[in-house]
Amino acid sequence: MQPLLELRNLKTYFYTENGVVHAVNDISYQLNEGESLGVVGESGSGKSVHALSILRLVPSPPGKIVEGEIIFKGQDLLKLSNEEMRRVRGGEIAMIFQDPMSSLNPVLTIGEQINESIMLHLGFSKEQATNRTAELLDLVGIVDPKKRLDDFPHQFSGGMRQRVMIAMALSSNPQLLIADEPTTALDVTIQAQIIELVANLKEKLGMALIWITHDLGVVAGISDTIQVMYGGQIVERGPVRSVFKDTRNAYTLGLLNSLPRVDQASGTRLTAIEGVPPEMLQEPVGDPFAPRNPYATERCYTETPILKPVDNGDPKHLVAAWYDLREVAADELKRRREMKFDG
Amino acid sequence: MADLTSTRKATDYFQKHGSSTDGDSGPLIQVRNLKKYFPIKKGIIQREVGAIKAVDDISFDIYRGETLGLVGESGSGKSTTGRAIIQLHRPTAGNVIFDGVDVTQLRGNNLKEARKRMQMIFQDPYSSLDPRMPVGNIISEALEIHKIGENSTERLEIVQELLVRVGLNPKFVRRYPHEFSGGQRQRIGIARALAINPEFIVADEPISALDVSIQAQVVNLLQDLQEEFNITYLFIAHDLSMIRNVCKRVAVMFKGRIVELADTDELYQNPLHPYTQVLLSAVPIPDPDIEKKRERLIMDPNFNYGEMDSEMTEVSPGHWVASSRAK
Repeated sequence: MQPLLELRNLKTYFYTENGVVHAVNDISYQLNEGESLGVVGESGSGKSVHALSILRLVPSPPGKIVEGEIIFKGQDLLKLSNEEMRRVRGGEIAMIFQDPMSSLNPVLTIGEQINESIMLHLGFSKEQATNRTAELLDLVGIVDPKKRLDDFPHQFSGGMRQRVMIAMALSSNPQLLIADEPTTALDVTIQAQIIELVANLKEKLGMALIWITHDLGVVAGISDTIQVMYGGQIVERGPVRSVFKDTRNAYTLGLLNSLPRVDQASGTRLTAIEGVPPEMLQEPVGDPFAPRNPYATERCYTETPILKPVDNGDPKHLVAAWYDLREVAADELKRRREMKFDG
Repeated sequence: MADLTSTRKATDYFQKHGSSTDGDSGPLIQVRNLKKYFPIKKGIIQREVGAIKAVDDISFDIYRGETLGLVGESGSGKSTTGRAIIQLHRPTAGNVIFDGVDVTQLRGNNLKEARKRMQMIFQDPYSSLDPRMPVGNIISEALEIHKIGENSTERLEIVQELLVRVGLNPKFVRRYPHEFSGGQRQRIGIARALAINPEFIVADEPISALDVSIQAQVVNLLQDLQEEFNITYLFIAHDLSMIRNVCKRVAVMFKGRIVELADTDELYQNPLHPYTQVLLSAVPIPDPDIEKKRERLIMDPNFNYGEMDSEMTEVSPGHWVASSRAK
């Protein structure tokens, strides 16, 4: 089966006053139709920039996709004209962002904004578009949608605005929805509602989903596949359960161990990852996590590890590491297995 | 769940305020009927047309050496509570008894003396440090204001010791805030708070602006400092996982009121207030086996979680809940 999306050796750099920031360093992966991918990483990991690259929304200058291919349904998006790309963007591929307010036009009503998108991408008449917009608002759980068409963005709460953004994203029947930290600015109860909404819509509409977040808990719930990024590279990737239960990269393990859990007794001292994330100003040499990795070998500092299958029988579980975590971190992994949780 | 008919009522709430189960050390801070209203003004003459009740009649104790967590969503009044306790906001009504003295009544020098014992760590390590001041000056400013250290040489020594204590290089005194990462800036904020040797620190979302891998570093530092200097914390956060990890007791706020207060593990294992239940149910757990099967409680839009009987009832030792629904 041909994948829906395939990234091949993508490199995106930013040319700043301080030097070249190597934001995305040679990443490759495939996403199938209807697949739900969770991309996890912290600021500077390249997770957001890689998503912006897919949509060719990297601000340029200073940003530039310097190498690679982004194949969507057999076509390299990087070879499309700007006009063709505009039709893909907000058409077959839609994106929702962290801050819905800044992605909505404050002087247009919600109805006008969604209508515009429907008329552009689906060629509907104004009346058809208005009906479709009301349907979409209903779909994302906005009560009394016909009445709210004439409301302006500021008349909606943060959670409701994110629902409006989702309605707008869905208006063109996309095959791929990219969500870049869409719930980070929301309260936890609203976050839970939005995640549930997107998960249900994804099932109903059969879209593929790329959900970008720093929250491993969110990924555990919503994703089929998890991709952990650090220093602009993919350090571990695979079926969610395999990566959480049979972790093979030291950064993934570090993240899991530094996270407190709501179902874990108080007073458990967290294992911090020492040091700070890389500045990305140098051409990457070696494993980007090596300086913070207590298990790093000499080779980690000199040679960049290649993403390859782990030997646990799951060919989809990949890791980039020169060490075998099960050997070097045996004690830590054992402690982790023995942790007690509520329930 | 506990049977309410057999429990004590609000009258002893004032004597035995959400007491810790091993509370042999008394309260450092007693908050009583604290209110903070912000006026809503309208029109050309800015007539007062109403008030936002940011904090609406809350009472609780904070024990010496403990970390009390204050959780709630944006707008619940948790930050305002923290600020009203250390008198950054003067309360509209109510009392804050700090080590036996009602600080809401203090003015002038007396207030300044009391403030020396209370400090705050802010959420945003980017906007809470003056960008034009070298780090050394940022930290020594409080020393000068409170006349700690004989001269500038002595103050420099104190600053350097503080930098070492929070895990930074003492040579950094001449550097400016923009030369540091978010986690390092938060360490500078902590060093500044520590400078005048406070007994009580309000940590207002101290880690929410930091990267996940840095959060544990800062939390561990705060805990080490607590052990070393016997500091009492009010730890304000919306991250319920982190709250459970660091706090001994937790108070849950909703729309300006406390709806539940208990020892941490008790609150998380046996939440009684419907709002606490919804809040805990919403927190994702980083384990796909659990998370993929979880049934969530969704907030009922027709149910008013806040405007219930505001009387706090002690349903089991140290576990207080706004009553009437907790049965």
